[in-house]
Amino acid sequence: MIELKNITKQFKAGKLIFSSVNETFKEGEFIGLTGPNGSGKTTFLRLLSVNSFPTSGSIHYNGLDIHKNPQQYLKDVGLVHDQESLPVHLSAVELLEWVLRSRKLWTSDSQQRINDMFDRLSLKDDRNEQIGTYSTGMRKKTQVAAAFIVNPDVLILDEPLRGLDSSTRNEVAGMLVDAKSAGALILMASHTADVRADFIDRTLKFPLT
Amino acid sequence: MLLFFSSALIAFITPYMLFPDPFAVVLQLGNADGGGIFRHMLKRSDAIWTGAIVSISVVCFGDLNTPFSDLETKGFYFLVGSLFFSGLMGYSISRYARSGEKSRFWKESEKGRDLRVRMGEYFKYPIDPGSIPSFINTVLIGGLGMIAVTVGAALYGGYGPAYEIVPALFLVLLAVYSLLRLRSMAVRNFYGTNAFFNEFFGETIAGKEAESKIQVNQLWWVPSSIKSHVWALLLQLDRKFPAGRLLFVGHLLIWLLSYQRPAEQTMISAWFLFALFHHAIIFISLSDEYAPAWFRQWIGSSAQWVMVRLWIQLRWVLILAVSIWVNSLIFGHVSYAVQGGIIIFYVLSAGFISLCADIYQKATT
Repeated sequence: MIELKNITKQFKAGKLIFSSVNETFKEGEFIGLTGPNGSGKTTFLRLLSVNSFPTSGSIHYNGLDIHKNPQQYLKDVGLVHDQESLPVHLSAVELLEWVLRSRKLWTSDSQQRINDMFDRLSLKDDRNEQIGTYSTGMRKKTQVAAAFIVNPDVLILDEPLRGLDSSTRNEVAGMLVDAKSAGALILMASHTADVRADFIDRTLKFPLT
Repeated sequence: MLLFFSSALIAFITPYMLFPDPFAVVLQLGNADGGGIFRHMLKRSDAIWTGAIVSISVVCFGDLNTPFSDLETKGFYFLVGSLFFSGLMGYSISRYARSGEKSRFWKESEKGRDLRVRMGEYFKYPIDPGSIPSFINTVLIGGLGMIAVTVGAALYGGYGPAYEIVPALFLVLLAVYSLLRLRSMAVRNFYGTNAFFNEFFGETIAGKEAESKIQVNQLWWVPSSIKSHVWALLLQLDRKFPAGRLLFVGHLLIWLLSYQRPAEQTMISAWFLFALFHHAIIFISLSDEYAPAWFRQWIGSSAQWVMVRLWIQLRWVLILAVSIWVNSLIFGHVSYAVQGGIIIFYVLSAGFISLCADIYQKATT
């Protein structure tokens, strides 16, 4: 599904983050990324989410070079970015409506799906308030909802559970299991304590050497 | 004169206006298509474009004594100015938006590292090769604008006023062609260039760069009560905003202007405008990114922050004074009295703008 061919990333010559990485990730796989702060997990996920470009090598999604064809690739991808950059003057519900309409996925039952999603994530009345008024946890819930609402084939999640209360973390863990069962490839950077080890098929330990 | 300085402004400000794009995350969530991303990039230049068009209209129609006289000529020059600015801006957006791939090559490749070492030895200062494509764009776009102004003036002299529009039309055509090329690859170029600028501005300072960073005790010319604030702002500004590059281009343009032997009054106006132009850096330092509210309010008084911004501006005053002095020795445009006046104006305007900036910041936070 996703194939990394000889990926090297350095921020400048001599400042290597990882070198000649070859990996294949298959559908339905749950890949955990672990390692200390600054070991390259976020850079790795940024490469996979086209927010960073490799110094050399290429990444292919079903044969498509993702950095040459970002739009075709991203239509199948759900993202929880490391940055919580969300439009502050939209409500969470409006944001998800925009995401679906923008991706031409809006249907007659979309409004209900959005509400179900926020019910599951316990974002109650605030879902209709502007995002600018949200706490860190509420923003994270909005990010998670935006990633899952498009029923993606690939989920790229950078610390999706950080800032969430324990019951919501369990709920998100359940959503991850559902997505995996439906055949989605999941790549998630997280502290190992956040996710039950039996969910994860494979762990990539950073720094990659 | 306005178009001349517009060229320098457009040449330099475009990448900072576009990248890194804080909306990139949201654009990804909606998976915007090429048309959407292209429109988004153009829209981000709206504020600058609107400001420029308003300025051009004020210059063209701001004659309060005879506001309705010679409207045809005024309208013509408004059209020339607007086309000139829009064309150069469009071309600049297109060039910078497509610069990511080349910039990344120079920043991350071995070839770039060799160049960094060679230039470091030559200039005795680490120069990031990743900034070379941006530097070339700055010189190219600034130079193109300046040449267009000069050619327009020559056509005016040789064939009459109507021909002054020709360079502006050329810039518009160049912009349309260049933007069409950008539009066809907008998604790839946007993500590529945004990724580069994100890493360029966000990377950890390490190695030689860390060694070369300014130390608090190097600021011997700053009063001790504000030294730490000046140091903190200078570190941030120099990492994010290479003001030296902008001012170098400014000096270059003004020297090229003086080479054309304009009237003395024109040169004096140019130096005053250039002196004022230095203080754009004050507005950049207002951003929360450099000095969030808690940083300003808890760590320093209002008077201190006014002084901080004034002192930051003082670091350019010697270069400005030397540039005016040498320029005047060669071209004989500006008397010593006027040179002194420009320097006094520079210092006073830095203080005044710092004060206004502080009042504005207090009113809006």
